[in-house]
Amino acid sequence: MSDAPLVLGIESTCDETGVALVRGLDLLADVTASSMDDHARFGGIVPEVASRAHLEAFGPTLEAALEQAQVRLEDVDAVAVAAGPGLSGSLAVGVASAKALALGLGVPLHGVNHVIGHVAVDALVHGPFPETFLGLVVSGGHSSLLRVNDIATDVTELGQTLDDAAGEAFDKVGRLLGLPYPGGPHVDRAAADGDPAAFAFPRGLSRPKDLQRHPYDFSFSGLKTAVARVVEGFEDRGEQVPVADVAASFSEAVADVLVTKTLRACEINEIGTVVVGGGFSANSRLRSLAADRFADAGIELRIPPIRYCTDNGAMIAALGSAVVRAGLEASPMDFTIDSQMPLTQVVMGATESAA
Amino acid sequence: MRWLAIDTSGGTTVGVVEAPDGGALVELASHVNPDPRGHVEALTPMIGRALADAELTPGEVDAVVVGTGPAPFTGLRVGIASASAFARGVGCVVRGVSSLDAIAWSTHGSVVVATDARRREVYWAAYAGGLGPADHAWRVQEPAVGPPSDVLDWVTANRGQVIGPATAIYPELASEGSAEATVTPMGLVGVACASMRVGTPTPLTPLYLRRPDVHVGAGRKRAT
Repeated sequence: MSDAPLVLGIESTCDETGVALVRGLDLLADVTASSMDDHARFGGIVPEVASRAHLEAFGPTLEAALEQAQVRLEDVDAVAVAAGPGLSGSLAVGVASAKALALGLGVPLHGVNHVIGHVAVDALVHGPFPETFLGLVVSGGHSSLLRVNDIATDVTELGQTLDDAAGEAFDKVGRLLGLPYPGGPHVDRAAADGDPAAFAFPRGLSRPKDLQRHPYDFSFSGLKTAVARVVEGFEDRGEQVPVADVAASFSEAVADVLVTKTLRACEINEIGTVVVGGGFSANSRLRSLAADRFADAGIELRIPPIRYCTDNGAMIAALGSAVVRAGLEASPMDFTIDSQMPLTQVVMGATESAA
Repeated sequence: MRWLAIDTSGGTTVGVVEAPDGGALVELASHVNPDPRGHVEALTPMIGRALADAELTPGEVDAVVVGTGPAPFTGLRVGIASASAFARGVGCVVRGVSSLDAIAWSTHGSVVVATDARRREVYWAAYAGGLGPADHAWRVQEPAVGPPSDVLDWVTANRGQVIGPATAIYPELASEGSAEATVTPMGLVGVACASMRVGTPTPLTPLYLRRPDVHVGAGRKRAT
């Protein structure tokens, strides 16, 4: 792959500024700066704080990535940037930087889909994708099932969450349990010492009627309310909330519904490989439950290591590299950022080249 | 020295300016898009057009100057991020100057420059007559944000004409021709050159002047 194009990937959809360099499927550098510490005290991402941090972090992050990869900026053959979905103010910094950088370097620019990047990054870890596979993207903003025939040109959305994203539900339950923000890792840690069967929390959209109408969709809002009722019940009775048991039972419900529905989607569509990505795929119960049940079902499960699950430049460089390999035309320089970019849209305003 | 000048403090302004050693500035190209939003879409194509008009390749740009506001946040960042990234891409220097200074550059009398800060406020700064960006005493009031009445109070106490885009929005600030003063490529490059000559710093630090809007939650609501 040493003569494959060198692709620079830029990520700035939320609170992480990521820059990575990929040649073919080889990851040469991946550097991330996060403003999470600035948000934690507010209990959520403050968009303006994140945007300001992106502007400050971009230059140093780019320099560090070039240094790590031992390449010069003028060696870059194409620039890829996350064009959406995400926070508008954050996206504006990364997209503006990417456009001007590509113009200055005289190389093509590809605006790509952040969520599809969460799936694409796995090719850097586990190698080329099979012809058709399912992508399960679970994060603070998304819980989506994708059918991927070609990561650069043919992605369809089978289903998504109808209300909260999985990671969002964890943030809210973390708050209920008095745990620090972000809830994902803290609830996960608390759950390690708890009994996953202590409370029978509901599995959203899993009754036969719901399965018929929403075979590939998720819902975590009802689950969150059920947890709130249990927690408030303990508080009203003046009893101590069994944080570990609640966390474990809640985690079990989320992991169970994600794994069960994804397996079912594999059966219906006769698909033998699932790639899981997104920040919530760092969740330990999701990982262990998925490993067990996919192995039992004889379905290949690919989850990249945790450092590639959270937002980073590698996912954007990986998708950019796939887009370049597929021979897609560059995005036009006036392309707009799209905070609601549809998950079936891999790139911004490009069409397949005739060649 | 061939300069690429960028400003996104109001609409989008892009130009190419030649600054001969010791000679007067010459504008080679200029493009203005008055839309106060949509910088992220408009800016890079405008840079491409300005360079084409000036018959320059990106690599022939010797320096970039960008207006650092004060200005509404998102557009301001687009200008600074783009200027910085373009300069990296071509390997040239990049300078930041206040957008208000760039507007004041073309004037000679005592002026207060005021631009739209939205939320019924203006960004403003005041400048002494007969001086310029190379003079220490030129800016007599540092950039500030506040209601138009702050500007009127200052003018009452210190005299001077209010100029700049905000005078088109607030009639109480306007006088004849006052709204025609805007950020120009020549103004940006003029301030940058003068600053370099006397060693005034030209950081890329955005002049936000306002803190981020942060709402701390009021504690959790019950579900039952």
